[in-house]
Amino acid sequence: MNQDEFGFRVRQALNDGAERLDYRTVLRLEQARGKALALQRRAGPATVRLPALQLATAGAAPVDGGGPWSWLRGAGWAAPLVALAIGFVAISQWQEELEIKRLAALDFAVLLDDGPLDAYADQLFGVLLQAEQKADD
Amino acid sequence: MAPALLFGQRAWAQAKAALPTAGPAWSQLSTPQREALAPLAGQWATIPPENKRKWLEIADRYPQLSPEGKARLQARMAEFAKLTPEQRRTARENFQRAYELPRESRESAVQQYQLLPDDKKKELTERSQRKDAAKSAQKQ
Repeated sequence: MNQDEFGFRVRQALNDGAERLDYRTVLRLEQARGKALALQRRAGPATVRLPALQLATAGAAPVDGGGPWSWLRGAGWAAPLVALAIGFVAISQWQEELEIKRLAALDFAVLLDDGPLDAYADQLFGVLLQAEQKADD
Repeated sequence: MAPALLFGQRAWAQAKAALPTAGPAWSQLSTPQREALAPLAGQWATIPPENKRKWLEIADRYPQLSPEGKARLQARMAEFAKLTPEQRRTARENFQRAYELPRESRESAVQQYQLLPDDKKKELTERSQRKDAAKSAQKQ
Protein backbone atom coordinates (compact mmCIF):
# COMPACT_ATOMS: atom_id res chain seq x y z
CA MET A 1 0.00 0.00 0.00
CA ASN A 2 1.60 3.23 -1.08
CA GLN A 3 1.22 6.61 0.67
CA ASP A 4 -1.50 7.98 -1.65
CA GLU A 5 -3.60 4.87 -1.23
CA PHE A 6 -3.14 5.02 2.54
CA GLY A 7 -4.34 8.68 2.59
CA PHE A 8 -7.37 7.79 0.46
CA ARG A 9 -8.32 4.97 2.82
CA VAL A 10 -8.05 7.16 5.93
CA ARG A 11 -10.25 9.86 4.35
CA GLN A 12 -12.85 7.28 3.38
CA ALA A 13 -12.88 5.81 6.89
CA LEU A 14 -13.41 9.31 8.41
CA ASN A 15 -16.24 10.12 5.99
CA ASP A 16 -17.90 6.80 6.78
CA GLY A 17 -17.61 7.61 10.51
CA ALA A 18 -19.28 11.03 10.04
CA GLU A 19 -22.14 9.50 8.10
CA ARG A 20 -22.72 6.98 10.83
CA LEU A 21 -23.09 9.66 13.63
CA ASP A 22 -26.07 9.30 15.94
CA TYR A 23 -28.97 11.64 14.87
CA ARG A 24 -29.00 13.17 18.43
CA THR A 25 -25.33 14.07 18.13
CA VAL A 26 -25.96 15.65 14.73
CA LEU A 27 -28.91 17.62 16.17
CA ARG A 28 -26.81 18.92 19.10
CA LEU A 29 -23.99 19.89 16.80
CA GLU A 30 -26.47 21.72 14.54
CA GLN A 31 -27.98 23.61 17.51
CA ALA A 32 -24.55 24.61 18.82
CA ARG A 33 -23.58 25.89 15.39
CA GLY A 34 -26.82 27.93 15.18
CA LYS A 35 -26.18 29.50 18.60
CA ALA A 36 -22.61 30.38 17.75
CA LEU A 37 -23.68 32.05 14.48
CA ALA A 38 -26.42 34.04 16.26
CA LEU A 39 -23.94 35.27 18.87
CA GLN A 40 -21.49 36.34 16.18
CA ARG A 41 -24.22 38.25 14.28
CA ARG A 42 -25.20 40.14 17.49
CA ALA A 43 -21.59 41.09 18.30
CA GLY A 44 -21.09 42.70 14.87
CA PRO A 45 -17.98 42.41 12.72
CA ALA A 46 -14.95 41.22 14.59
CA THR A 47 -12.09 43.68 15.10
CA VAL A 48 -8.70 42.31 14.32
CA ARG A 49 -5.86 43.99 16.19
CA LEU A 50 -2.40 43.87 14.68
CA PRO A 51 0.83 45.16 16.18
CA ALA A 52 2.01 48.45 14.65
CA LEU A 53 3.70 48.15 11.26
CA GLN A 54 2.84 44.46 10.92
CA LEU A 55 1.11 43.73 7.66
CA ALA A 56 -2.15 41.75 7.60
CA THR A 57 -1.06 39.32 4.94
CA ALA A 58 -3.75 36.66 5.06
CA GLY A 59 -2.49 33.44 3.65
CA ALA A 60 1.05 34.68 3.21
CA ALA A 61 4.04 33.68 5.29
CA PRO A 62 3.86 35.07 8.84
CA VAL A 63 5.80 38.31 9.38
CA ASP A 64 7.92 36.71 12.07
CA GLY A 65 8.83 33.92 9.72
CA GLY A 66 11.32 35.94 7.62
CA GLY A 67 9.04 36.41 4.60
CA PRO A 68 9.35 39.18 2.01
CA TRP A 69 8.06 41.76 4.55
CA SER A 70 10.41 40.76 7.36
CA TRP A 71 12.44 43.99 6.92
CA LEU A 72 9.41 45.84 8.33
CA ARG A 73 10.15 44.28 11.73
CA GLY A 74 13.17 46.61 11.93
CA ALA A 75 11.05 49.59 10.93
CA GLY A 76 9.02 49.10 14.11
CA TRP A 77 11.76 50.64 16.26
CA ALA A 78 13.49 52.69 13.55
CA ALA A 79 10.39 54.71 12.65
CA PRO A 80 10.32 56.81 15.87
CA LEU A 81 14.05 57.55 15.45
CA VAL A 82 13.53 58.67 11.86
CA ALA A 83 10.58 60.82 12.97
CA LEU A 84 12.76 62.33 15.73
CA ALA A 85 15.57 63.12 13.25
CA ILE A 86 13.10 64.77 10.86
CA GLY A 87 11.74 66.74 13.84
CA PHE A 88 15.24 68.00 14.75
CA VAL A 89 15.90 69.19 11.22
CA ALA A 90 12.50 70.89 10.96
CA ILE A 91 12.89 72.66 14.34
CA SER A 92 16.44 73.81 13.51
CA GLN A 93 15.38 75.17 10.15
CA TRP A 94 12.38 76.92 11.66
CA GLN A 95 14.54 78.53 14.40
CA GLU A 96 17.13 79.62 11.84
CA GLU A 97 14.42 81.11 9.63
CA LEU A 98 12.99 83.06 12.60
CA GLU A 99 16.46 84.37 13.55
CA ILE A 100 17.15 85.50 9.97
CA LYS A 101 13.81 87.33 9.83
CA ARG A 102 14.51 88.98 13.22
CA LEU A 103 17.97 90.15 12.12
CA ALA A 104 16.62 91.36 8.77
CA ALA A 105 13.95 93.47 10.51
CA LEU A 106 16.53 94.93 12.92
CA ASP A 107 19.14 95.65 10.22
CA PHE A 108 16.45 97.20 8.01
CA ALA A 109 15.63 99.62 10.87
CA VAL A 110 19.33 100.39 11.54
CA LEU A 111 19.91 101.09 7.83
CA LEU A 112 16.91 103.42 7.60
CA ASP A 113 17.85 105.30 10.77
CA ASP A 114 19.67 108.62 10.60
CA GLY A 115 21.99 107.81 13.54
CA PRO A 116 25.68 107.45 12.55
CA LEU A 117 26.61 103.84 11.73
CA ASP A 118 30.16 104.19 13.05
CA ALA A 119 28.74 105.24 16.44
CA TYR A 120 26.27 102.37 16.54
CA ALA A 121 29.07 99.91 15.74
CA ASP A 122 31.30 101.25 18.54
CA GLN A 123 31.08 99.86 22.08
CA LEU A 124 32.03 103.29 23.40
CA PHE A 125 28.75 104.69 22.08
CA GLY A 126 27.00 102.02 24.15
CA VAL A 127 28.82 103.32 27.23
CA LEU A 128 27.67 106.88 26.44
CA LEU A 129 24.10 105.65 26.00
CA GLN A 130 24.27 103.89 29.38
CA ALA A 131 25.51 107.12 30.97
CA GLU A 132 22.56 108.99 29.42
CA GLN A 133 20.20 106.33 30.69
CA LYS A 134 21.57 106.65 34.25
CA ALA A 135 21.26 110.45 34.06
CA ASP A 136 17.61 110.07 32.96
CA ASP A 137 16.85 107.65 35.84
CA MET B 1 14.42 64.47 26.12
CA ALA B 2 16.01 67.95 26.39
CA PRO B 3 19.63 66.67 26.11
CA ALA B 4 18.60 64.56 23.12
CA LEU B 5 17.07 67.63 21.45
CA LEU B 6 20.19 69.66 22.17
CA PHE B 7 22.40 66.92 20.78
CA GLY B 8 20.28 66.66 17.65
CA GLN B 9 20.35 70.40 17.06
CA ARG B 10 24.13 70.53 17.60
CA ALA B 11 24.65 67.62 15.21
CA TRP B 12 22.49 69.37 12.60
CA ALA B 13 24.42 72.63 13.01
CA GLN B 14 27.73 70.78 12.60
CA ALA B 15 26.48 68.89 9.56
CA LYS B 16 25.30 72.14 8.00
CA ALA B 17 28.59 73.91 8.68
CA ALA B 18 30.39 71.09 6.86
CA LEU B 19 28.25 71.55 3.74
CA PRO B 20 29.97 73.58 1.02
CA THR B 21 27.04 75.98 0.44
CA ALA B 22 27.73 79.56 -0.56
CA GLY B 23 24.13 80.69 -1.07
CA PRO B 24 22.78 82.11 -4.33
CA ALA B 25 25.21 83.75 -6.75
CA TRP B 26 24.65 87.39 -7.78
CA SER B 27 23.61 86.20 -11.27
CA GLN B 28 20.92 83.99 -9.71
CA LEU B 29 19.12 86.94 -8.05
CA SER B 30 16.01 88.43 -9.60
CA THR B 31 16.18 91.90 -11.21
CA PRO B 32 14.36 93.62 -8.28
CA GLN B 33 16.69 91.87 -5.81
CA ARG B 34 19.77 92.99 -7.76
CA GLU B 35 18.39 96.53 -7.94
CA ALA B 36 17.77 96.65 -4.17
CA LEU B 37 21.13 95.16 -3.24
CA ALA B 38 23.17 96.97 -5.93
CA PRO B 39 25.71 98.42 -3.41
CA LEU B 40 26.60 94.85 -2.39
CA ALA B 41 27.26 93.58 -5.93
CA GLY B 42 31.05 93.73 -5.56
CA GLN B 43 31.19 91.87 -2.25
CA TRP B 44 28.20 89.51 -2.72
CA ALA B 45 30.41 86.46 -3.40
CA THR B 46 32.21 86.93 -0.06
CA ILE B 47 29.03 87.26 2.05
CA PRO B 48 28.24 84.13 4.12
CA PRO B 49 25.03 82.26 3.08
CA GLU B 50 23.06 83.18 6.24
CA ASN B 51 23.84 86.86 5.69
CA LYS B 52 22.78 86.54 2.06
CA ARG B 53 19.39 85.22 3.21
CA LYS B 54 19.08 88.19 5.56
CA TRP B 55 19.94 90.64 2.75
CA LEU B 56 17.36 88.97 0.48
CA GLU B 57 14.76 89.53 3.22
CA ILE B 58 15.76 93.21 3.25
CA ALA B 59 15.55 93.29 -0.57
CA ASP B 60 11.93 92.06 -0.31
CA ARG B 61 11.08 95.11 1.83
CA TYR B 62 12.91 97.57 -0.43
CA PRO B 63 10.09 98.22 -2.99
CA GLN B 64 7.81 99.49 -0.19
CA LEU B 65 10.18 102.37 0.65
CA SER B 66 9.90 105.98 -0.49
CA PRO B 67 12.62 107.25 -2.89
CA GLU B 68 14.35 108.91 0.11
CA GLY B 69 14.17 105.69 2.12
CA LYS B 70 15.61 103.69 -0.78
CA ALA B 71 18.48 106.16 -1.14
CA ARG B 72 19.29 106.09 2.59
CA LEU B 73 19.13 102.30 2.78
CA GLN B 74 21.47 101.88 -0.16
CA ALA B 75 23.87 104.58 1.05
CA ARG B 76 24.42 102.73 4.35
CA MET B 77 24.20 99.19 2.98
CA ALA B 78 27.79 98.73 1.79
CA GLU B 79 29.19 100.33 4.97
CA PHE B 80 27.08 98.03 7.15
CA ALA B 81 28.05 94.91 5.19
CA LYS B 82 31.74 95.73 5.69
CA LEU B 83 31.42 95.73 9.50
CA THR B 84 32.74 92.68 11.36
CA PRO B 85 30.11 90.33 12.86
CA GLU B 86 31.03 91.71 16.30
CA GLN B 87 30.54 95.32 15.13
CA ARG B 88 27.19 94.45 13.56
CA ARG B 89 26.08 92.84 16.82
CA THR B 90 27.18 95.98 18.73
CA ALA B 91 25.37 98.20 16.20
CA ARG B 92 22.11 96.30 16.72
CA GLU B 93 22.45 96.45 20.52
CA ASN B 94 23.29 100.16 20.53
CA PHE B 95 20.46 100.94 18.12
CA GLN B 96 17.95 99.20 20.39
CA ARG B 97 19.43 100.84 23.49
CA ALA B 98 19.35 104.27 21.81
CA TYR B 99 15.64 103.95 21.06
CA GLU B 100 14.89 103.13 24.70
CA LEU B 101 15.99 106.71 25.48
CA PRO B 102 14.12 109.96 24.86
CA ARG B 103 15.08 111.73 21.63
CA GLU B 104 17.07 114.46 23.46
CA SER B 105 19.20 111.94 25.39
CA ARG B 106 19.82 109.94 22.21
CA GLU B 107 20.93 113.05 20.32
CA SER B 108 23.10 114.10 23.25
CA ALA B 109 24.92 110.73 23.22
CA VAL B 110 25.50 111.01 19.46
CA GLN B 111 26.83 114.54 19.87
CA GLN B 112 29.18 113.52 22.70
CA TYR B 113 30.47 110.63 20.62
CA GLN B 114 31.10 112.75 17.55
CA LEU B 115 32.87 115.48 19.53
CA LEU B 116 35.32 113.06 21.12
CA PRO B 117 38.77 113.06 19.46
CA ASP B 118 39.89 109.69 18.10
CA ASP B 119 42.65 109.19 20.70
CA LYS B 120 40.18 109.91 23.51
CA LYS B 121 37.72 107.40 21.97
CA LYS B 122 40.48 104.80 21.91
CA GLU B 123 41.43 105.49 25.51
CA LEU B 124 37.83 105.32 26.74
CA THR B 125 37.20 102.10 24.78
CA GLU B 126 40.24 100.44 26.31
CA ARG B 127 39.21 101.58 29.79
CA SER B 128 35.70 100.23 29.26
CA GLN B 129 37.08 96.91 28.00
CA ARG B 130 39.35 96.60 31.05
CA LYS B 131 36.38 97.29 33.32
CA ASP B 132 34.28 94.62 31.54
CA ALA B 133 37.14 92.09 31.79
CA ALA B 134 37.49 92.76 35.55
CA LYS B 135 33.72 92.36 36.02
CA SER B 136 33.63 89.02 34.19
CA ALA B 137 36.69 87.82 36.16
CA GLN B 138 34.89 88.66 39.42
CA LYS B 139 31.84 86.66 38.33
CA GLN B 140 33.93 83.51 37.65
